[in-house]
Amino acid sequence: MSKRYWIALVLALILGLGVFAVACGEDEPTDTTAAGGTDTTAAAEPTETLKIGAMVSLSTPQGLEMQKWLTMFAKIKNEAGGWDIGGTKYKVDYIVYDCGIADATTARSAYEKAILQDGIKYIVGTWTDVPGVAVTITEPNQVLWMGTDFSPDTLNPEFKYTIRAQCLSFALGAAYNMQKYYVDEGAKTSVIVDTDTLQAQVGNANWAKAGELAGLKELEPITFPNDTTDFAPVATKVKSLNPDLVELAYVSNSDHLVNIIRALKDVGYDKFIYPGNIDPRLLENIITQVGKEYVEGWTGMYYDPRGIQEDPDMLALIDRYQQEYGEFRQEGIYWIGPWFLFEDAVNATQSTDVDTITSYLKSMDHGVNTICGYTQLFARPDVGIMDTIDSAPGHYMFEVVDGQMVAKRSVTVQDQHLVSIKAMGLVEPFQAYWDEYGKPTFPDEESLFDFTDL
Amino acid sequence: MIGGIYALIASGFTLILGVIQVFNFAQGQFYMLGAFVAIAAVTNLGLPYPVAILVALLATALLGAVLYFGVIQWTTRSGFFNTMLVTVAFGTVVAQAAMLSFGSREAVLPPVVSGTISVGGVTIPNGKLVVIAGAVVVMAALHYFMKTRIGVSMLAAAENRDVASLQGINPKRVFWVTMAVGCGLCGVAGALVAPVLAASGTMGSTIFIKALLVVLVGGTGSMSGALLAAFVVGIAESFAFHFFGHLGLLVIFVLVAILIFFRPGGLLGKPLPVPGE
Repeated sequence: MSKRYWIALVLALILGLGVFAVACGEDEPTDTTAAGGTDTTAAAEPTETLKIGAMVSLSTPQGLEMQKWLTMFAKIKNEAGGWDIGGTKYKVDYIVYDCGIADATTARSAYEKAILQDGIKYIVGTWTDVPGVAVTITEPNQVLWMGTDFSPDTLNPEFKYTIRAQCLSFALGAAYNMQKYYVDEGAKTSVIVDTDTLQAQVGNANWAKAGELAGLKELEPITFPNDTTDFAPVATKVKSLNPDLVELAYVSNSDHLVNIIRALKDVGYDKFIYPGNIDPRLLENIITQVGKEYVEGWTGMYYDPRGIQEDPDMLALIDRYQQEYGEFRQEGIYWIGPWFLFEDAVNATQSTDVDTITSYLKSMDHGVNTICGYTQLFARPDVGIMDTIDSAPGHYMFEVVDGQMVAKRSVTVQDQHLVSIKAMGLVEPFQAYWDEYGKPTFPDEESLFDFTDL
Repeated sequence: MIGGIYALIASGFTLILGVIQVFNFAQGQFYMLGAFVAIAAVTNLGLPYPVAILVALLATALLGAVLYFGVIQWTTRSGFFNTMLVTVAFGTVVAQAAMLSFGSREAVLPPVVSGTISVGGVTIPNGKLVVIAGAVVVMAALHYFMKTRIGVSMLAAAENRDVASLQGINPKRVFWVTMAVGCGLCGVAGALVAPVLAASGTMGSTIFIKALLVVLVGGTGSMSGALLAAFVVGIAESFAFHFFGHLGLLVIFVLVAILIFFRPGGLLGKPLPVPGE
């Protein structure tokens, strides 16, 4: 190889690394550890270190955003001189591992590295981590797992260290609130459009049940492969069914969402669309494609708490996020809920012992406020789990007025929990549970659904 | 519309595979980059959309040439599989860098033309007709390009690079031009769809599998085969979804498997070369 080629190659490498560093530099105030972990700690005085792990895909918007928030939480603790637990100051070391996207092999490797090599005792926050694989490593190693899942894989009465937060088991109150809104607007029939993943199938089946509870006739869902590029066939199929409402509840890829809505407009569909959880910038992109009139009056789930959230601690965290990273982004805030539960458990028990923290979480009689609303843990008597292990998160609604997202109101934990129980036909086991252990108490918020509606 | 996009990506892929014998796994990423470059050219630089297409073409062609000079020309000596793995690595770096640079959000361009036309009861958005027209123009340009001296040299090198060298054809020149053209075609495809489809960092990976399918159906190394197969696959995909829903892709793969069983070289091509030969 001649000298000039070597020079060119070196220059290209420097250029490439420079671009990469600039790109990373905007959002990533982190150091990278070996084998996939990203480790963030500020300089701190404490001698003890509390290592917490999170398992996310760093190739997804949610995972990248979770990484920002979680590492920021650690930074805040460390800036305050560490986390005072039982009279000892701990430096918080929040290590975010890349677990791939629903990839069992990658997830297993990441979990093995975290638990067997790095000695992590708490996994707090997950995204696309294959929970069925996770529990095969966390449970035998007595590691607390607080992750996202709504499959049966993590609902096992024998699991001692598994807490499903944030989970969507009790999230149908949000669906119900939205569906009620469209029923009041005159919608009678609805079709769910979504990717053909297993999680989406489970979620959509429950979503449809809430729709029926709200008074909608749910038509057969239309699912599409995740690698779909052209949504004209999907839109054509929707048009042939001609429902009053199209529900895009779990379409998590924002480009898919924009493309589906554009395709629906292209085929002449002009009734209601429920766009799921979107943010103002996504709405702006949708409007760029389909026009302002097309989206007027839409309502949907809203992760952005600004305008509704009143908790000064949460508002302070949002301010800090904006100082750290600039523009507020909502993709991660729902899924970082476990941190607030974990923080509450550690503060309440003043312990770092996994069994003590887990015991506290499994007998929680109250919820905690999170950036995305109030979150509470509940038991699952329908599958024989009497401990509080499954979360019902609060939520927010927006309405599109003159092309702008206007915060509408909260969806309460009470609605989330009770509507879910009713929609999924679980009233009987929960009634028996409440008879024995007492009914849960909820924050004093205005709800659409009550115990009398069950 | 999607058939036209498949045609451009598959043509670029099959051109590189046929001439340089490089299985370019990064091909889809050039499509993604083309879309983002076009969007940036319009929204950030204020350029007219047709100019943005040219910018996307030049940028991706340039990057293709850089990929050749910086990496491919050295790794081809190590064999087919090593080169293929290098393109996998390059594609991964580009995809992750795009995610970090452009963000994980979608990006859109306002529609270039609005309105629809109705043909036989079927409503077709004018924006998609523009994409189809653009793809046809690019394919026609490619057709004439292949008749030029450098184009003929590329075809000769694809046929037999040793004999081509004996005829005075400079293989290095042919190869880097091939990389530039092959990658530029993907860039144009990305720029063409930008006003009708939202762009995202993952769009390159998802379309690449379909482009491979098109190459298999059309025949490796055959650009006319790729063109024919692109529209066959695009139309079959729409019908398969309508009748079989989310199992439509599975049906297409079964049909392709049957086709390959009876015609290993696809509709108009030759069977895949044995790696390394």
